[in-house]
Amino acid sequence: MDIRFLRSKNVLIIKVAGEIDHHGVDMARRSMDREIMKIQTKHVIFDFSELSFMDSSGIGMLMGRYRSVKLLGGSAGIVLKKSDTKDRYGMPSLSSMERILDMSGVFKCMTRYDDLKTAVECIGG
Amino acid sequence: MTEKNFVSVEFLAASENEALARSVVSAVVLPADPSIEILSDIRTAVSEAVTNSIIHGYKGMSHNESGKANMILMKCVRNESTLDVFIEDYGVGIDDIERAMQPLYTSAPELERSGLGFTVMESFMDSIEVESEVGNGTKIHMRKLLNSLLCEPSENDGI
Repeated sequence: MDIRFLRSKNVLIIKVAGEIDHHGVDMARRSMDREIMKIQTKHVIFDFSELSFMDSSGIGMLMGRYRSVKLLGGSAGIVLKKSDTKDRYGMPSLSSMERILDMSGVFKCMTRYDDLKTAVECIGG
Repeated sequence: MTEKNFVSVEFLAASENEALARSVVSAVVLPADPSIEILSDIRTAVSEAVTNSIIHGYKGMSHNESGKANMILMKCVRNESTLDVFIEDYGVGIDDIERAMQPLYTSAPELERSGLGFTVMESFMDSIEVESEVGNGTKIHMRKLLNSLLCEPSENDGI
């Protein structure tokens, strides 16, 4: 898992590339919390456009960070590339990652964006 | 049709082996040329099962009090059109399997666990069976159909 932090005005962008599983999640959580406290931006965007795998360990990580951002009065967004996955019958379907995020209810708290530019424009003010 | 294959690996209940388990199951499934979605579903379900064994079965400990290694056994059986994965630990076991499998139930909220592990396994695989004995461990059996129904009609179709 590779994590990078970027700042755009009042938005902290957390770009996670590679794979999110239980193994990497503790370290990721600590570095994200440190950065959220340090940077003191209002809003957070998780940029998952280069994420190749995530299991349910990622949900706890997202929801935990969402709670701290919410306490500071901010909002959170999540950037996911549009998937072109198809199901057994060849019909368009959600990717595994999208399905985990969907069944966890994360999208009720965080808006999903197709690209970072749109997310920054919508969330940042 | 691909040949059948059977792989059995035993590894330490350490979180770095979650990626290893995903790699092993991928290597077993890939010769059957599954779709990206099916492969991704299998990798995710295996990751959930192994993570459960590490976090819950062994309480996050790679060794027990007497220094003995806590091990996880994974067997992958690939048949013509199915993959069976067995993931077994010798940890604390589950006293109430029904409750453990409920969406959002977690015995470890302090670890920021979402309680979705079994829900993901159930919805990403075609079947799942859980056997557990308190004090003796847990065994998960998951099955996934590998064929895309669009590209490879089953042999019964012509009848």
